[in-house]
Amino acid sequence: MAYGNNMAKEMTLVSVGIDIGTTTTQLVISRLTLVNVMPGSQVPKVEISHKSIAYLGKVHFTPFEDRQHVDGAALRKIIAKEYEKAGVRPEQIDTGAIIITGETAKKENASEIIHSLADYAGDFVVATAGPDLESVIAGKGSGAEALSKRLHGCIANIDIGGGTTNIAYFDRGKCIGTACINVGGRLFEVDPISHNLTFISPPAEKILSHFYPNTVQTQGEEELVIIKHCLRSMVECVERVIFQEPLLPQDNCLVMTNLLPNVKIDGVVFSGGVARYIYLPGINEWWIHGDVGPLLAEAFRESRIYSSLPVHEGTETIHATVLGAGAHTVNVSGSTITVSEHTLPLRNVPAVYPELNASGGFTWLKSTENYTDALYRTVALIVPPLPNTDFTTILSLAETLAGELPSIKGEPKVVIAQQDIAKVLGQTLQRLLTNMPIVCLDGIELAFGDFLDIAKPLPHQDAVPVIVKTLVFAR
Amino acid sequence: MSLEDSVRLIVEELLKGMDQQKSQNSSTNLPLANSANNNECEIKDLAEIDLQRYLQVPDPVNKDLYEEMKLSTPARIGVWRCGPRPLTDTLLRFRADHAVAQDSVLGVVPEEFPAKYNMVPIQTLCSSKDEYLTRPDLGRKLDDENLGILAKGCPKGATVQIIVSDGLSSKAVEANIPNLLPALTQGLEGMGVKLGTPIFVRNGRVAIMDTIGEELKPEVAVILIGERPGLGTAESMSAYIGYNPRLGMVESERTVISNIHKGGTPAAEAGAHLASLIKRILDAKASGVNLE
Repeated sequence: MAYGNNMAKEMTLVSVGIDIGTTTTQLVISRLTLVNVMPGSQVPKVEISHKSIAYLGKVHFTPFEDRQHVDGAALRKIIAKEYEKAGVRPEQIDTGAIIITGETAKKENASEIIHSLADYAGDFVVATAGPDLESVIAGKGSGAEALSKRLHGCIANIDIGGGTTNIAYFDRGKCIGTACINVGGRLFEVDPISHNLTFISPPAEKILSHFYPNTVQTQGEEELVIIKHCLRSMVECVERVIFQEPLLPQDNCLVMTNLLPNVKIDGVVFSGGVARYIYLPGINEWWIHGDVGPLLAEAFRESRIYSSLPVHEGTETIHATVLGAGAHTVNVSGSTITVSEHTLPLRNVPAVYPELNASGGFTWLKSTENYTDALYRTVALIVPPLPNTDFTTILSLAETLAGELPSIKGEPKVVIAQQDIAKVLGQTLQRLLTNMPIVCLDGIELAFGDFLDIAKPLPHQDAVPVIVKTLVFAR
Repeated sequence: MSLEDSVRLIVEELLKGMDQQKSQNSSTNLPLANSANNNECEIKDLAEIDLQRYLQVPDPVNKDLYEEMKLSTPARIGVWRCGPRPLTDTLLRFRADHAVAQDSVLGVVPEEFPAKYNMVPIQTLCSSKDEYLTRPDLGRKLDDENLGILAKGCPKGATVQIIVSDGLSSKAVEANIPNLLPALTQGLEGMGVKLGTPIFVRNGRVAIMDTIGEELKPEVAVILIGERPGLGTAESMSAYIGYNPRLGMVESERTVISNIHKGGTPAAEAGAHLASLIKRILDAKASGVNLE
């Protein structure tokens, strides 16, 4: 006999990751291999089986027009050139993410630039910013997520870049919290020839004036002592965040977000540009990059984080974020789903949880009211786990949804179930709401506050690639 | 001494021993400490325990990891031991699951079941479960009387003919059909497919589809049939689909979806999936390897 499976072959998706950081910009192109992991006689289930790097771009300095503006035209040129070197055209890119990180995300024109770049970079490339997501992406790219799964423990990934230190906790493969602290290697810039300070970023300035309120211009050895003191106090701030200790007054200007839970950590992985000098210490020419990265690395090596927690080496240090953006942002939905024709792709769909109504059933009407502005084309209604997946249970759920969906703004109507019921739920909805475009998916883990990008269905498959943008870890 | 004789001897010895014990018990007249617990109503059904959440290792070093491992597989891992042997618990549960599997093979679908789902009930040439198990060939054939029931009760030339059969697990039919059938019917009707009157076949094999196909000439036949039960579940069902079902069709012409049960593909979702798969088969006018 033959099998009901309609995909014996593998498929590949070309994914791009672009990281526009405080100091550097980099592009990576990866290939994601998707296969049906179920035996041929069973309902298919598509998973990403393999991720490989097809092209690792050069590390460029992030171009700026001035201290407040990113140079969009120069960035586009960098990306165009990297595409050319990689031998791909934007239209060949299936998915991926552009992430604008660290200090760069604070620039006035950051959002505008990243969205126009995302449109240029490919059909389904997501533009993201935000320190929480950056932390998660770095932790995935550095291998900390995989390590936590392998060790069955809780691993903290500490990604130290030019402008920010992004922390993410992974407990057995799942991110349970993030924090972003304004501590980075490029908060002080120096002249590589004279080794004198050339620029002090606002957060560094605040720390400096806290410890040395009356200092005038200093130079040489004295200046180095001051810088080291500031860096040490910055790292101590990271320590206080990680070890859940009360923050000091000067920490408040550094801690941007802190949603780390109070849990026991089994190990730590360092990533980001500065991490290289944590794992390979002893560089004498600390000024080599025109900043204080190597000195910051030294301060981290002397910290309690380094001495009291097991330190693991990840699979990537400096490329962690760009690899995370390129290879670890895409999920694949379940393979039994319902998608009306011509409804995908969809971008930036907020996930909306229901409330319980008086009779104990779900209602989405109230929770969707927060998303009525024109920013969102539609919303994704989340169906929490049902007590069972019997047909009658699904039917009554579908009837509730069919009653509410017409009065919820936006098309297509997107419903995301937490159990394997998307096909039967979708077919029932289609019967109840004839001619209404419906996208009904399952197999995607979502949390409150997540946003979704949903791509076109995979060729010969019912599954769709989905990018979940987790923005909030508060619970 | 023949084998039979020795068995008889052993049984007699055992019975003698039990009689002696009984008389001893009654003579000592001691109050039985366990008598209350031995009350039949209070014995827990072993099969009720969710094995994947049942932690038998006392004081595990890493309970979280142990739990995670147990939840990752239905296999009987981490069951602890008594000396080199499994615990009584484990052994009894193993035998209980085996018994459930056997019950499922030998059990029958209730008489009123087909009528509840508006199915026309028929029976193959097998007149008993024993015959069904020993004569697979008879499970694929119908006598004139049953062919007559078909001709009378089911319209010919439907686009899709649904057939339900007990196969090797009556429990699979009872557990899955109530959720699968309405989902499948809704899915197919939603795509505008004309359905025949569903048929229930007692003591049927997969290829009964061929016999029914020859008689009713549907474009596609799908048979929902109980799978041979295992120790993990006795409720697993398969769906075999054939385009242009007829006598002499080969096995490679059938498309199959297996493992329809609570722990596999849930019945309602499987029904919806089957509907789209059947639609694809109708569009391609082919099933089995011809569909690939």
